[in-house]
Amino acid sequence: MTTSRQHPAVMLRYLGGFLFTLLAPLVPILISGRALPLAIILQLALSSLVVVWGVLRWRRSLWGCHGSISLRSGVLSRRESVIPSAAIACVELRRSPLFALLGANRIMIRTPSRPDDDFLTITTPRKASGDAIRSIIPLGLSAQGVTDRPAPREAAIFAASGSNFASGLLILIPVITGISKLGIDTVDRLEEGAASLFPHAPRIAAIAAAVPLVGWLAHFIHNCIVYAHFCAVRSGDTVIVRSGTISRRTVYIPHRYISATDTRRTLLLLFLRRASCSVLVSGCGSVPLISAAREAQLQSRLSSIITRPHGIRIEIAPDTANRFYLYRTRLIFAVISALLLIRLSYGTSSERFISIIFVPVTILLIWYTLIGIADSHRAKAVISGDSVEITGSRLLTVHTCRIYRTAVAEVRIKQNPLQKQRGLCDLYIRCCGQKHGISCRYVSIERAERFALMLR
Amino acid sequence: MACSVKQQCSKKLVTLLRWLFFGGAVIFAALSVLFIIFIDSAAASLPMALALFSAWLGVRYAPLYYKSLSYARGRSFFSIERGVFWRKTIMIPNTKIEYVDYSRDPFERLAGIGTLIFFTTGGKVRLRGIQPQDAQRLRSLFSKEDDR
Repeated sequence: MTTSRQHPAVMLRYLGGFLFTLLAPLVPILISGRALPLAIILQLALSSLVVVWGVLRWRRSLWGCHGSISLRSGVLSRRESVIPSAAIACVELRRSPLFALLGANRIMIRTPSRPDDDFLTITTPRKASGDAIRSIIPLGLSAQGVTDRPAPREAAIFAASGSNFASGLLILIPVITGISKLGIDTVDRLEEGAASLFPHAPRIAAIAAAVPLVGWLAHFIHNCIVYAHFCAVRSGDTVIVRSGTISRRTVYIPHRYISATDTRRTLLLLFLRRASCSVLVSGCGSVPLISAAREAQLQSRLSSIITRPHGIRIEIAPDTANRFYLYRTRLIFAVISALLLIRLSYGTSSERFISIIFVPVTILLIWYTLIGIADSHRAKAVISGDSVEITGSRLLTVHTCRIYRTAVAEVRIKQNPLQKQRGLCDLYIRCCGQKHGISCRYVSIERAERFALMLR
Repeated sequence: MACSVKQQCSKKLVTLLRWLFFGGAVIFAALSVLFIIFIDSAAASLPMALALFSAWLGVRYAPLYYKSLSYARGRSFFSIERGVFWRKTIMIPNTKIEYVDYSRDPFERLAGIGTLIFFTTGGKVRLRGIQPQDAQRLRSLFSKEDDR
C-alpha cells in the first residue's frame, strides 16, 4: 500500500494556539527594536522546539488508501491504524478560511466505535481532497441526485429556533476580550447600551434583560451564517449535507449507517407549524437534514432523502383522560413560580432584587409546560415493517424519532408509584450510538408490554 | 468459543514491566534521600515504602501479571484474560470488532513489543505485550474476516 504525507498545514493543528502564546510577547519587542531579554530568548528557544516537534509530527503522519485506510502517526509513541472502508460511518470535509489560504482541506473520518469528539483527521491538498474522499469511502453517487435546499425564510426560522443566549455569550466572550484589549471599556459600553434599550427599567434589570438578548442575537447571527448555504442531497446510496458560509462543511453519509431520523419541534417551530429534521448516524451524532419545513410538506421532503416506512402500522398513545398527567407537575411548578414572582415584585427592595432571579425561572417553567402540552397532543409510538416511530418531549423540544428496527438499542418500560396505581407506564426507546432515548409517557402498561414484545 | 487455543503474550512484557517498576522504585528512593537531606527522616518513610513496594511489584507482580495475561481467537469470539488479584475475562464477538490499531510507546519499542487496540461498537479494548509479527498476524486475520 502506498502511503503519502499529509499537507504541511496539518502543523497548524499540531501547534495550535501554543506557538501563538509563545511568540506573542516577541511582537512588541521586535516593533520597538529593544534588546531581547533572557526570558524572551528562552521563550524563543522553546518556540523553536515546539516548531521542530510540529515538523517531526508532520513527517511521521502518513496515510494511504487501498480498500482500507491506513494511518500512521506519532514521534515517540507510534500508532498504526488500518480501518476497513466498511467501518467508516461518515466522512466530513471541512474548508476553513485559514486552511483554504494554505491550499488545504481537512477530511474527518468517523467510525461507530469512536466517540463523537475522537475522530481521525487527514489534511490533504485542496485539489486532491475530492479524490481522497472517493478513495476512502465507496460513496455510490448517482448523477441524478435529489437536492433539498431551504428557502431563505425557512433558513432564518431554523437559525432562530436553534439559537440560545448561553451559546451566544460563549461566542461573544472572545470578541469582548479582544475589544477590551484595544482599550475600550466594554462593561461600561454594555451598561450604557442596556440603559438605552430599557430606559425605564432599573439598571440591574436592564442589564439582566440586555445580556441574554445580545447573546441570543449573536447566536442567531452565527446560525444564519452557518445555515445560509445549507442543503441536503440524496445521491445514490449517499446523503450529502452541506452547511457553512465562511467555514464550509460537507458531510457524506452512506445510507446504511443512518440509524434513525429525529424530527424536532421547538416552541417557535410549533407556533409556526413547522419542524426541523436531522439524521442520527452511529458514531457521527446528529446531522441536520431539513431546516424548518412546514408540517404538511415534511413527510414528502423527508421521503425524497430517506425511504418512507412500510408495512402495517400499529400505534399506541396515551388515553385522552391521561394526557393531563404529561404536563401536570410542570404546570404546578410554573404557577408556583409565577405567584412567587408577583409576590416578590410587590415586596421590599431586597425582595424586588430577588424577583429578578425568578423572571428567567418562570419563563423557562412556562416554556417547559407549553412543551408538555404540545407533547400531550402528539405523544405516540408507532411500529411498522422496517421502523419504530416514537414521539415525546426532551427538555424544551418535542421529538419524533423514527428508528430502524435493526438500530433499536434499548426498549425500557418505566413506572412510578402513581403510574403503578393507575396501570400506566413510560415507554422508552433508545437508538444505537445515542446516549439518550425518547419516552412516550403515560401509556397503558399492557399495550406497552405488547409493543415491546413486537419490537423484540 | 470452539477451536480456540490460549496464547500467551510476549515474555518481553515481564522485562518491560520490571523496567517500569524498578524505574519507579529508583525515583521514590531518590525522593526519600532528598527528604532525608532537606526535611527529616520521618518524612522520607512514605517515599521509601513506595520505593520498596515498587521494587516488590517488579520482582513478584510482573511475572504474575504476565502469567495471568492470555488471549484466544475462537470461531466467533476473541477473548482476553487478565488480572492477578481480580481476574477479568473479556469476550468480543469477532463480528463486533471494527478494526485493530497497533500502538508502541518508546518503552515498548525498546522492549520490542506493543499494544493492540481493538475498536468495537461498544468501545475499545487493549491487549499489551504483543510482538509486531503477532500483531500483524492478528490484524490480517480480522481484516480477512472483513473481506468476507
